[in-house]
Amino acid sequence: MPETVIKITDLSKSYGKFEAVKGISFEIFRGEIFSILGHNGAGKTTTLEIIEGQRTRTSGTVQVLGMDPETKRAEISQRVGILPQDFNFLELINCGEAVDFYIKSLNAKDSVDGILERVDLLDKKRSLIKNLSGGEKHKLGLGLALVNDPEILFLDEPTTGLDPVARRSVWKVIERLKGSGKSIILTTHYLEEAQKLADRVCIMDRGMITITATPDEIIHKYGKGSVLRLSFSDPDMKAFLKLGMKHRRSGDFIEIDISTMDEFFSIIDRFKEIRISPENLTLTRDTLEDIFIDLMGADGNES
Amino acid sequence: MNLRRILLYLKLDAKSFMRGKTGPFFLIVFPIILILLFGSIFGSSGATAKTTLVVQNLDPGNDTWGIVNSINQTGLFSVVVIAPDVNISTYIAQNSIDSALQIPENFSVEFSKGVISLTYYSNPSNQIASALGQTLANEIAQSYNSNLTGSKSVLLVSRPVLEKFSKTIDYYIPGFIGFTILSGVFALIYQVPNYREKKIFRQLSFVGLTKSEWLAASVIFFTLSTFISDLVLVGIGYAVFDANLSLSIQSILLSAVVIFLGMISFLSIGLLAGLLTKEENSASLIGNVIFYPMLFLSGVFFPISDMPAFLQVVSEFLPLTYFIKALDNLILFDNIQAVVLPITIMAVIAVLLFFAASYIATNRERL
Ligand SMILES: Nc1ncnc2c1ncn2[C@@H]1O[C@H](COP(=O)(O)OP(=O)(O)OP(=O)(O)O)[C@@H](O)[C@H]1O
Ligand SMILES: [Mg+2]
Repeated sequence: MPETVIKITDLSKSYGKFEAVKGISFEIFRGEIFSILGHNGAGKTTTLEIIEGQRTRTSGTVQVLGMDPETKRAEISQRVGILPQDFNFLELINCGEAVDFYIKSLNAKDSVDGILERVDLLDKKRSLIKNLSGGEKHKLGLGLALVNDPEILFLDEPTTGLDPVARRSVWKVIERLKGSGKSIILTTHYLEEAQKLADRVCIMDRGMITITATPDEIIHKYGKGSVLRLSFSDPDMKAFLKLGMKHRRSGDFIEIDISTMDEFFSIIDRFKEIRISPENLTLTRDTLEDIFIDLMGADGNES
Repeated sequence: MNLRRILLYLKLDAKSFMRGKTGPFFLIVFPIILILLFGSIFGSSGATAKTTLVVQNLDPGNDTWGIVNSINQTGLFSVVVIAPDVNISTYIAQNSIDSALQIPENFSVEFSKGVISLTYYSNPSNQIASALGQTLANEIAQSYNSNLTGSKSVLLVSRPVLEKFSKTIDYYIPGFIGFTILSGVFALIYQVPNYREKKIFRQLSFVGLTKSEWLAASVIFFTLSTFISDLVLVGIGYAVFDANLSLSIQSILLSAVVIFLGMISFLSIGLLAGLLTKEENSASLIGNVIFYPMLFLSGVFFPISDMPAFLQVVSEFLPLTYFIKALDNLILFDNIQAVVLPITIMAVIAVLLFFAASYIATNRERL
């Protein structure tokens, strides 16, 4: 059993009458990337900030490295790194100075160049923060979170608002961190991101956790398996329909649900026998995104 | 409190300040412009308030009341009579008087010869006090001529209240320093809403910097920058305008205390405004509402004695008035005794304001 670094039980948080987090529980193990997926307002940031010790909770227990963040915030902050959802720093300070301030304040052994290098920002060492692009700013925030070699990293939507290139570059940094054995808790709206980076995912919806599992488990359990999409010329189409194979029509396309690869090959063999060949053929696996939308509806309401 | 973190943040803050558009301007350029501009103009408005006139009669053979009476008839002064054994220069210095009239010992003798001889002390930077000297002379001559037979001429010897006041720049320096103190209102008034909105306090807390440490760094920073501004100011006063202040070790040290207390008071007022408002705009509005009336009514640019009576009453209630009066007493008159009580009161005010502001700043959950 791997070591637990964060454990929360029955955590609730109300802002006045509004219950933003409604009794959630989960555990995070050393060395894993744990992702919280959810729509806007699901309660991701609230949950993260409570774990970081920046917000008080209404009820429930929270343990970070065996300590309660409400009372041991200073000790915990020495051992964790935080990238807030809306990272900002003094505008007229350059990247190198910001990192230097972090290193010296935390008495860390890192070097400024080393940190900037890890987040691909060495060429921006002398750029003022107000002149950084959104992606560069995220990377700087990530770099600052890395100072003092934290055991746990909290990354709140590290790629929201970034273009695809910048997003991939942040992913690269996170993947490298995963290799170095850090525990990472990451929130995101992007299922693709959770699927690519996370060991385990929980889906949070209006303050509650609906599912916690590995991306594969979720796809396996809730997914519709793989789908074969085909299109035929008119004569071939007639021949195909005569086969009486189970299928759906979707516009000009035929869709066939497939659960194993053998099934796929036997279908192809049948086509060969009757000498038809599809004009188009794609085999797709359900993504987390499809499941997410299926489970919650695109507007965030459970269907 | 961790001194190392305070100094590290101080360095960042100073860098941000110097890189900002307004930072270096307010620190160095503005005091220079201020002193060059107002030092050259040295003018004030034509207000009609009464100036206090101190009268001393050194001539035992003379009935002062005739003169005092004629002065009262002018309606221009409120008269204060002092005893002959008082040293008038000391009295002027201790009470920071702008105009005084001395009736010399040989007044009666001269008078019998048909000459009215008087010594008039006035602060040349107080235009009214200077101008009134001439009016006063005319009025006295007239009143004597109408009461007595034979015409008398009035010989009025005008003297500045202190010899060195031939250069009026000295008189303005306490006001300019008052201006740098008052600017403390803006030290944190924008920073607090800005840091709060951008969640920079939170970001700083990730390295363990507390709000008390942030506040300590800010106080150190604005104390240093105020002293730098004031040194520049006084330096230019000396270099360009031949200023000649009463700078004894005591007056310098006590002035530093006054400047520090004033800076803390106004910084705390600005901090409170920043804390109690939601956005930068309303904080800035409050700042200006505090700043401008004080700037114009506390004797920074216009002597209080030149102001209409009701504004003089208002100025009595403005804290800056007392900081400037204290500086007047210290660097113009080297009058240490006069400032002991005001400094004590200022210290109490500064401490109260600072603790109120820092309590609110450090005890809010989400700043
Ligand atoms: N300080 C606050 N006072 C009142 N309500 C709040 C406060 N902070 C958050 N909320 C509410 O709590 C709910 C959860 O907010 P939270 O920021 O945790 O959502 P999130 O999942 O991080 O959303 P996003 O994806 O948009 O960042 C929202 O409905 C929000 O409006
Ligand atoms: Mg959020």
